[in-house]
Amino acid sequence: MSTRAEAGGDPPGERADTAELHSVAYDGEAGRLFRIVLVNLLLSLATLGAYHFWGKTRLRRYLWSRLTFLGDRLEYTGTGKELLLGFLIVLAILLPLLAASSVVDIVYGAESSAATLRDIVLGVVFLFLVGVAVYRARRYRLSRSRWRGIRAAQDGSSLAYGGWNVLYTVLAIASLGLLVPLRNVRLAAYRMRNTYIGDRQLAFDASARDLFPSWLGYWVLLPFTLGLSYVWYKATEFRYFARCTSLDDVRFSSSLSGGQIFVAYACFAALAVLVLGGPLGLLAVTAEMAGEAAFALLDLLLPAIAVVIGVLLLRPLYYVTTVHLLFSVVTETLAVHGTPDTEAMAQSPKHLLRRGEGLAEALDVDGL
Amino acid sequence: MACFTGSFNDGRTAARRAAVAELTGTDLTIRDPGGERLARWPLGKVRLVDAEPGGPVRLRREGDDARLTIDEPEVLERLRVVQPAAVRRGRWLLRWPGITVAAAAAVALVVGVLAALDRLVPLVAELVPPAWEERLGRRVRADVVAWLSDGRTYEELVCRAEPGRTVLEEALVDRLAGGLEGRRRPEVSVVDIDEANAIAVPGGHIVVFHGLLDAARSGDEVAGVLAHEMAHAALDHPMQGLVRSMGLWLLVGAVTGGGAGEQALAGTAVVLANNAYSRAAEREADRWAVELMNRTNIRAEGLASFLRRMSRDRGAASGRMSFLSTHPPSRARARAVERAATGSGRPLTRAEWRALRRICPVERWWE
Repeated sequence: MSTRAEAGGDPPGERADTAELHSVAYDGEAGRLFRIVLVNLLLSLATLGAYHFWGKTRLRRYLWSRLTFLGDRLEYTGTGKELLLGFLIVLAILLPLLAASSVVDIVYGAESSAATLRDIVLGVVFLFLVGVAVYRARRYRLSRSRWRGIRAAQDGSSLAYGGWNVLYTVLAIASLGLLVPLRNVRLAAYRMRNTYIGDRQLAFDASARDLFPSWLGYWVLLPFTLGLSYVWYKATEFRYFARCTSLDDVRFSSSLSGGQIFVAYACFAALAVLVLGGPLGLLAVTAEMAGEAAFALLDLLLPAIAVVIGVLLLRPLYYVTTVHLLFSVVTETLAVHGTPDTEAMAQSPKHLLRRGEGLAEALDVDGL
Repeated sequence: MACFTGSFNDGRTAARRAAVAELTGTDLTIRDPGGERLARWPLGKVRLVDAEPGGPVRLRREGDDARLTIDEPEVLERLRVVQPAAVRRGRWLLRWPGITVAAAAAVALVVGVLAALDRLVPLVAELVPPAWEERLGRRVRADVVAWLSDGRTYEELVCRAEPGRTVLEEALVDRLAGGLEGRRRPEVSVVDIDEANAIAVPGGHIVVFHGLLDAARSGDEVAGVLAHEMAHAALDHPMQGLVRSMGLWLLVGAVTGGGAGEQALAGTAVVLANNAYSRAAEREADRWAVELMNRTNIRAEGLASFLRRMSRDRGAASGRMSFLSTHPPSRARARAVERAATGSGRPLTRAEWRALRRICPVERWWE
């Protein structure tokens, strides 16, 4: 018989109907984040991009380990090698297609009607591939995430998800954006219902009908706010999705606001303007002052260096502002109602996915 | 033997148990507070999950789902002493020495690649099949004409009125081509667009805009501009410019790992770098043009005077070399031209100059 732990996160009476409130804590440090991303970028540059996969893995390991639930931190067990392998496999498929496509474009031009048809087909194929990529990326990340040694997992078919992505995105576009909640709910439902933590499956009971009323308001405001009202809609949607998600008896809720998301991005935008404006201003001034002889050398190096510095600082800044702020704000506003029955939560039975988000890497929809 | 407290997850369920870890010379034994043994890990199989400063130390056994969390960071020291392989040290890179080394490596690579690019670009440009280059050149020409004329085509706007056309072909192009030393004779045409400029595109095509004929004060000046463009064509600058920008883009893609935001911004770097290279190309074309005019005994002072008068900004675009650029400063260019000029001939008579100016059939009230 095992003894019930006093320390640890299993309080007595967890199966009772008093919903205990828990939260996910995030304690990442902006300074540490900045240095990790900066070093990743420098080493990627020095290795012509090869280090990128290991750098991303390292970043994820740090971020995951900064999230704590019920006293234990999350763990990321992916490797750079897996990401690289996935990427290479997909590149072998995509590269010939891309090369052929651009050669045709250069040599024959893009005016003919056959080209328009080709563009439509390519658009559909692209939507499909993006869907597949996003689903596979999420599957990889989940399968490499552990809490107390228990793996998360994602079932379902990435091909099916790709198909749904095409269908619902086309519907959303064809309806001039009115059917966006339908798209978001259906895609989220497929993702969430196929998500497992250990052997426990997530439940998701959202319905697009609940979101339409508030969406209409934001939709009307889209042109007047230059698209920014979508940010506020996303917050509404997130809060709703949180309410609709459950794991056995555990439910979730969020008080995330659109303003908080907006601030996270606005901080980055403001800093980016400063960081880029600096080097470019310096460039303009020195270009005026340089003498004829030194000019030739400076001429070539200075602009490239100035902008490269700006670009190099941009990604670390993005993580330190937007990503860091979003992590903080989402976890602070997320509430977990009820305590999971950890004794009953068994290890995940699914087989590990060997390859990384290869497709996502190549198509750049891998997010974090 | 050392003892540490913490918690244990057996990897079969998500339950958490208080635990005590005993570290001997060969094993890590994990027991619950009551003394019952939960697991025993051979030290050779112990792996570090993480040990961030200020946080607990997390350990696992290789190939196992179980996890051990130790509250006391001293366990790390003990593990290193007892079994060095068990604990990785990867954090040197994040301190300033590490960052400096990484930065130095990055800079070294960028400089190295730029230097290599310089060597490779002309070679690759030469390898492009002439048929492709021809097609490409016609595309670029059509695009530029459409862009500058709000959508009209090259065929609509090309000027061929006589006797201007013969003047162009025989008095100017043939004369200059005589100094090309076996190189391909470019195809020169005048297009009815009101820009004081001329461009060279891949495939040996040179387009002179009618605005240039209006802005120039003599046939010498036009000859100078033409010589400059022929230099670009002879030195294969248009194709090289394209190859270079494609190469830079590939580089940017590799380095930024495909991040869309950075690619857009690194694109600015590419454009600026391209402009820098094309300014170097402008200087080289100036030198070559003066040599060409010297060889064919045309006075290059025409080029110099034209440069002095014109001070408009033009950036270099892909696939074409514009006559006027942002830098180098036009006055410096003019001085360089004057210093090297040795020719003295005037390529066009007054009558020929007037005929050339009328090569485009549009009626202008002041002519």
